[in-house]
Amino acid sequence: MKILKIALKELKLIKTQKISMLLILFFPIITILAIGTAFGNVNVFTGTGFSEVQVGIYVPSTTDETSELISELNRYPSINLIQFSSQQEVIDSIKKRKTKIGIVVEDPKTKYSGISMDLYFDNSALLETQVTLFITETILNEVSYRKSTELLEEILQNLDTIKQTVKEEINTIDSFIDKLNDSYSSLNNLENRINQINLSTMKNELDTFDSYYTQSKNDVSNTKTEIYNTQNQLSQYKIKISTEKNKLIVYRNQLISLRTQISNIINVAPAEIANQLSPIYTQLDNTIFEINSTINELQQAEYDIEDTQNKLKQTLVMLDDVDSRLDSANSSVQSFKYTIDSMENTLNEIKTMIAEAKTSRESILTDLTETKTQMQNLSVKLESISSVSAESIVRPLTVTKEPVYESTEVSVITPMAIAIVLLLTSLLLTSISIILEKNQGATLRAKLSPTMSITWITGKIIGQIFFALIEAVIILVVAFIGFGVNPFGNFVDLFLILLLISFSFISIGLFLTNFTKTQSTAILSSLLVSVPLIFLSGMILPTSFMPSFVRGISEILPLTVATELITSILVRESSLILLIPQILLLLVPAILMIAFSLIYPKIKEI
Amino acid sequence: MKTVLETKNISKAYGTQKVLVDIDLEVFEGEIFGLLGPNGAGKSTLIKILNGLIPLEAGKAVFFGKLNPGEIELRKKLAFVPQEDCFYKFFSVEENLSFFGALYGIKGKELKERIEFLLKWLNLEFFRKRKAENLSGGYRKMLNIACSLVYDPDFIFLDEPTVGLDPDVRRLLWRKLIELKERNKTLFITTHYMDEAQTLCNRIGLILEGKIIVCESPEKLIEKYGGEKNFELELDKTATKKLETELKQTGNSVQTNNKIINISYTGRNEINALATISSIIKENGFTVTKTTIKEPDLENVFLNLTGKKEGIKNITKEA
Repeated sequence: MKILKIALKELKLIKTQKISMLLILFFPIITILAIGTAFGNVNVFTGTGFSEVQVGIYVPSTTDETSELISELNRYPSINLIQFSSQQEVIDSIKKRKTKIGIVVEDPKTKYSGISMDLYFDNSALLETQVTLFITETILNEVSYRKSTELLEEILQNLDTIKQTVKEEINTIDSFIDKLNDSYSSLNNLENRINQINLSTMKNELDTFDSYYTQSKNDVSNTKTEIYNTQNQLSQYKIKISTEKNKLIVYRNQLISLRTQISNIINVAPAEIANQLSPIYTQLDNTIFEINSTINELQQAEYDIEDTQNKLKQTLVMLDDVDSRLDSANSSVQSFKYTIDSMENTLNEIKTMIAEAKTSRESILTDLTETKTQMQNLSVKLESISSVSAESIVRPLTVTKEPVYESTEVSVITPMAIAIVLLLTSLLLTSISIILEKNQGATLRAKLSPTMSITWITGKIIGQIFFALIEAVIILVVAFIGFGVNPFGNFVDLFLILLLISFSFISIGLFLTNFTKTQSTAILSSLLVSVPLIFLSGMILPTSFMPSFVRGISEILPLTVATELITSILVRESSLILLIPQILLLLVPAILMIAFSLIYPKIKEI
Repeated sequence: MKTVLETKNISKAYGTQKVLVDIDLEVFEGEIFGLLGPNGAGKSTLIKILNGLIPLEAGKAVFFGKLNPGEIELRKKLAFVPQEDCFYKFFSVEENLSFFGALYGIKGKELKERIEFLLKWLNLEFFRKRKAENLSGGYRKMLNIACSLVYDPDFIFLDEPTVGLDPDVRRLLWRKLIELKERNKTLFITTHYMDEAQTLCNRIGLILEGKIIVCESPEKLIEKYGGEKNFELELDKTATKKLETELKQTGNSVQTNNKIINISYTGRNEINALATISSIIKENGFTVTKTTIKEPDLENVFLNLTGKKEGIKNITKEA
C-alpha cells in the first residue's frame, strides 16, 4: 500500500511538471521519428525512398567488357555512376565529396580474363564509407556474380551445344550403323545368290552346246577332206610341172648345143656371117636364159607345191589338234560361259553393291564432313571454355580497395568522438548551467547588474568553450598517445574549428534554456535535440541511406556539419577557405540563436 | 526630504487582466518604505518594473530625479534583495561576493575592502570559505543581502527579507536594515509581517488589486484605519449565553470561545469600559483570571482597508 502511494506520488510529481511531461511525451515521439526517418528507409514526408551512392568511374579504354560493366552498374538505382576521364579526377571527386566511391578500371586482357579495378573510397567518413563501400562492393559482387553466371551460362550453353552435337553425332553413327547393317544384308543377299549358283544347271546347259560341238567337228572333218583333195590335186600338178620342166631342160639343152654351134661358126665364119649370126646367138642366149628361168620357176613351183603339201599336212595335223582342242575348248568354253555368266551376274551385283557403297560413302562422307565441322565448332567452343580460368569465373571482377586518405580508422572516428562529446557536454553543460543559474538567482542578479546581457552570455560562452576545448584536447591526446592519431595536422585550423563547433553547440544549449525552467527539462530538451542530431548525423546510419528529404536536413544539422569540419581538418587536411559553407552553416544559426536568446526574455516579459 | 523615487500612473496588464493601475508613489532618501498587500496585489510586478526586469508600458518611474528603470547608470545605484537565495550555492561566501562585485565593475582593493566590510557587518566572516549551500537559513539570507550590497547601492529593494528566519536572526536583520537606513540608504521593502513593517518602515503603501489605496506612516495609518481596541478576558469557567448577551448590551462587539471573551471597544475611555465589563462578569458569578488589552495595529489597518479577513489569515499563516 505504501509502495503504491509512493508510486502514485511519483506520477503526481511528474504531472505537476508540465514541461517535463510534454518533453517526456515528445522525447519518444521525436526519437522514434528521428530513428524512423533515418533508419526506416521510408520518407514519411515525401516518400522518395532509398537514396543513391555517388560513384565515380574511370575507364581507360572502352571495350565490350568495360561497356558491359558500366551498363551493368547503371542498372542499379542505388548508385549514381559518374564517368571521369582520369584516375586523378576520380580521386579528386571523392576528396571534394562529390562522390563517395571511385572505380578505376584496368583494361581487360582477354574476354575471359576478368576485369581488375581499383576501388577508391573516402576513408574519412568511416561508417558512411563502410556502408557505401558495402553497397558498391555488393553491387560489384552482384555484377561479378551475374558475370560469373553469364560465363557459366555461356559455358553451359556451349556444353548444351556440345551435347546436342554429340547427340547428332550419335545419330550420325546410328545412321552409319544402319547403313552397315544394310550393307550386311546386301552381302547376305549376295551370299545367298552365290549359294544359289547350281552346277547341274551348268551341265545341262553344256548339253545344249553339244550340237554346236558336233557341227564344228564335222566342219573340221570336211576341211580335212578338202585338204586331202587339195593334196591330191597338188600332187598331180607337181607331176605335170616336173614333166614340163624336163621337157624344157631337153629343149634348153638343144638350144645350148645350137648356141655352141653358132658360136663356133661365128668364131670361124666370116665377119658378115658372124655378124648375122651374132643376133641369133644373143637371141638364143636370151631364150636359154628365159628357159632356165622358167625351169627355175617350175622347179620353184614344184617346191612350192611340195611346200604347200607339207603345209596342208601340217594343217591337217593342226586340224586334228584343233579338233581335239575344239573338244576341250568347247567344254571349257561352255564351262567358262556359265562361269562368266555367273561371274557377270556376280559382278553386276558387286557393281550394284559398289554403287550402293559409293552412295553410302558419299553419304557417310557428307556426314563425316558435317561431323568434322561440328567437331571443329565444338573444338572452338571447348577452346573458349578451356581459356576461361577458374578464377575469372569465380571472380570476374577483381577489386582492390584503395583508401583516398592515409589515415587509420581511429583517426576517422576521432572527429566523431570529438563532435559527440562536444555536443553532449556543451549542450547539456550550457543548458544545465544556465538553468542552475536561473534557479539559483544568479541570472537575476546578472540582469539587475550593469553587466550587459551580451557580456554575460559572451562570458558564459567563453567559459563553456574553454571547457569544451579541454575535452577536445583530452580526446586528441588520448587518440594520439593510445592510437597514434596525428592531432596536429593543422593546429591553428583545428583550434579555430573546435572553437566554432563549441560556440555552435553552446548556442543551441543557450537557445534551449529560453524554453526550460528546470534542470530536468533542460536535460530532457537537450536530449530531445541531441538524440535526433546523433541519429541523423550519419554516425549511426550514413546519410546516403536516408531519404533525400531527411538527408537534406541531416547535411545541415550542426552535429553533421561539425563532424564534417573536424574530419576535413584532421583527416582530409582541408583548408578553411574550402570549408566556408560549412563554417557559415554553424556560425549563422549560432549567432541567430544567441540573438534570439538575448531578445526573447525581454519579449517574454512584455 | 529628497525624493529618490517617483512614480506616476504606472500601469501594467497581462492581456485583459490589469495587474497595476495608476501607481503613484514617492520614496524619500534615507527612508524605509514598506509595500504591503495580499498575494497577487501586484507587489512583485511593481518591484520588477522598478528594477527594469519588466518593461514599463504605461506611466513613469524616475530614480534620483533623472534615471529610468533599466538604465545602466541606475543599476549601479539600485539593489534588489530577492526573497529567494540568489547566489551560487556551490561557491564559497567570498567567491559569491567577489563574483557579484565584479559584475558591478568593482574590483581590486575596493572589492576586497567591500567584501571584508560586508563579511564583518553581516557576521559572515567566520563562513567566508564555506560553500553557500552549507550555510544555515539565516546566514544564507545574510549572504543574499551581502551579494546585493557588495557594490554599495543607494536604493535597496527587499522582497520579504525576513521570511523563514527565526526571531533572533529576524531582529538582527532588522537592526542591519535600520543601520542601512542610518547610513542614508533608501530601502523599499515588501513584507507580510505587519510588525516588521510597523517596526522598520517610515512609510507604508498598501496595494490592493493593483492600486495603491493608502500611503502613510504606520502611526497615521493605525490612527486613521486601525479601528477598535480589543479586550481579551480569560474567565475561571466557560462563559454562558446569558453573560454574552449582557456584555453585548454594553454596545460592544462580543465573541466567546469557552473561557475566552473577546470584546472590541471603539470608545476612548477603556478603563471605565473595562470596569463596567468586569462588574457584569462578576454579577454573573464568574471571575476574570487574566485581562489583555490589544491596541489596533497595522494588521487591523490591513483588515479594515482590505476587508479580507481570509486574506490576512493567509498572510499571517504564511508568516
